[in-house]
Amino acid sequence: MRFISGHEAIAQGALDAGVNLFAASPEIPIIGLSDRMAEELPKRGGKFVQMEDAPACLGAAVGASAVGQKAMIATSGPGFAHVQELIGYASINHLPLVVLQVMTMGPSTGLPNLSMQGDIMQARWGCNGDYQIIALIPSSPKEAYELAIIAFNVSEKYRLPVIVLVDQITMEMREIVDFRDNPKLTHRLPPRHHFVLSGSPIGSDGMPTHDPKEIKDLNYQGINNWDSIDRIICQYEMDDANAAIISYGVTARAAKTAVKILRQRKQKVGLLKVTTLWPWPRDEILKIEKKIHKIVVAETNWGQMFKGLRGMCPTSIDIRSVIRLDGRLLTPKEIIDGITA
Amino acid sequence: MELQPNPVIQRYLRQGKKLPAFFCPGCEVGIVMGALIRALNACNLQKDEIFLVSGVGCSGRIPMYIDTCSIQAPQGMALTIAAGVKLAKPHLKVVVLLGDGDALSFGGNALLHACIRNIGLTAIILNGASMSISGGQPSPTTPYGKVTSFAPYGNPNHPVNIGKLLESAGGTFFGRQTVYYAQELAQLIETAIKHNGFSVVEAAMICHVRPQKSDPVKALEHLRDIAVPVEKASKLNREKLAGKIVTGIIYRSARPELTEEYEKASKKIRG
Repeated sequence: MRFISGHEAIAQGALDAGVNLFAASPEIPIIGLSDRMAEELPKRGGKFVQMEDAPACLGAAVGASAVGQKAMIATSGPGFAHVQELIGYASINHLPLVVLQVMTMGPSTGLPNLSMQGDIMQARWGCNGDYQIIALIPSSPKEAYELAIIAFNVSEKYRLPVIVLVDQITMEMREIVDFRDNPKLTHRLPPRHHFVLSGSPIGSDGMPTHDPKEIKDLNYQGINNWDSIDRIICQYEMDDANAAIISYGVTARAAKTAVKILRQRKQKVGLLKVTTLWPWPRDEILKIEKKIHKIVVAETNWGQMFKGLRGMCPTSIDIRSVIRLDGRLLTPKEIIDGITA
Repeated sequence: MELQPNPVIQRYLRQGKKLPAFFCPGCEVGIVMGALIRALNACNLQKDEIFLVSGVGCSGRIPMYIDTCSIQAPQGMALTIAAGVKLAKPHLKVVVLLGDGDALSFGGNALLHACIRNIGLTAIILNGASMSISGGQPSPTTPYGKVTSFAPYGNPNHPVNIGKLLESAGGTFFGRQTVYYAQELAQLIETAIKHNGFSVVEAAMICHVRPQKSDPVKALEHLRDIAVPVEKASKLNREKLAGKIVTGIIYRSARPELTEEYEKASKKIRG
């Protein structure tokens, strides 16, 4: 049990998950994490490599993953935009790897020392074409430690790249983290014999194919897994709630305080904290829709999750968005004002 | 007379491939593929010891015909993916096949950094002096004034000398050969694969389809005529070398290789 920052928590999680290759290029929001990996990874027989830019980091991770190693990269802010092409490549080639993205205030360079949850949709739809992806978001260093391990397990189980989105503030805050109750590890499968990986759909003869059936099979591969992917959704005071706050990441902490205050005022409000962002927590939200009449979506962006949820909810539900765009965090008061207004 | 399949080529080719290959009739990429296979055979490498990575373009299809683990990378990413493979499995012989556009335009930074790191990869740059697969647009090696679809009034840029570029970035092995001299090209690739560090082979070729159609036989004869071996070139003056291609091992030096450095550091840390 130690009092550590998000940087150290994620580094420890990745090391405990048995990461073999960690690639990073110098970006201010990930320095703490990368420094730790550079120091600790060689002691455990792994490799830390500094690449020339963010796409090159993911390129190295793709190569290491293709030959059966656990690979991870860390990037932040606009670095995430640069790596998108290879995320699509890793997804269609079913390469398990972990991409850690520190969400800083954007767009573009923005302010790398402020926090903003602006990359929620980019994590899902950032690359061209359409593909499958899993994204997780922790709200504390403790959760970040656990999610770093879970991310490797999930990526191996479903053979997909997993994106861990972390608020910049979660990286910098310090909390007590217990390393003892870590999840069980899933080990990497050895690679196939004499495989061909390509950005194009590869047919049974190992060449790019134009055959509609082969292309369909390649693109739909794993879609059955897609619906049954284990999602992590935490419910807080939802049993008798008639209104719900939906939130994720560091904003969910303010939302939890808001629920506590509202409960003291005898208002039946609950919190749905979304940890698995993608695939979308559809079932859980459809379940709560039956008993509540009001939803407040709290997030620090233009309402990326709100816009997605609005289309899912029946018109009988009063759905509202509470946002903040100045790089500061939402306060419990702002969320309470949103729900009571 | 019936043509007998070459046992060396048969050993390394993937079985059940659709042949003739994807390349245009008369294309010189096949010569490089044959040279690569002969070089791999001369190094006596088993198929499981070889890893091929290719970039985009016509040359990117070569690994699909060779029966080893292979990756066709998105544009410009071939050397970074190859670096990941080499770092993960240092015992593999990783050969990277690049076109001139992929190596110098999209992946120029990766090429530069492979030289800086001296990572144990072998890059074969198939230099057709144009981005042929998309229609022959200018690449960094296209001659000045050449008329192409993106430069209908002549290419405004002067071509880059890959050897000099990489030497200044700390490259430790650079060789050049034209595809007319197929046996010499195979020997050069063999030497490059055996080199400890980042080795680059430039295979000079001509795309006879794009941007302008020409006779493939005349193209090969031209490649025969402009090739000057490096020993002979050192005796010639600048005017006589104009329009010629200097072939052979242009430079070779020794410097610690990246994965060996990692191994050394790892041993030191772990005791």
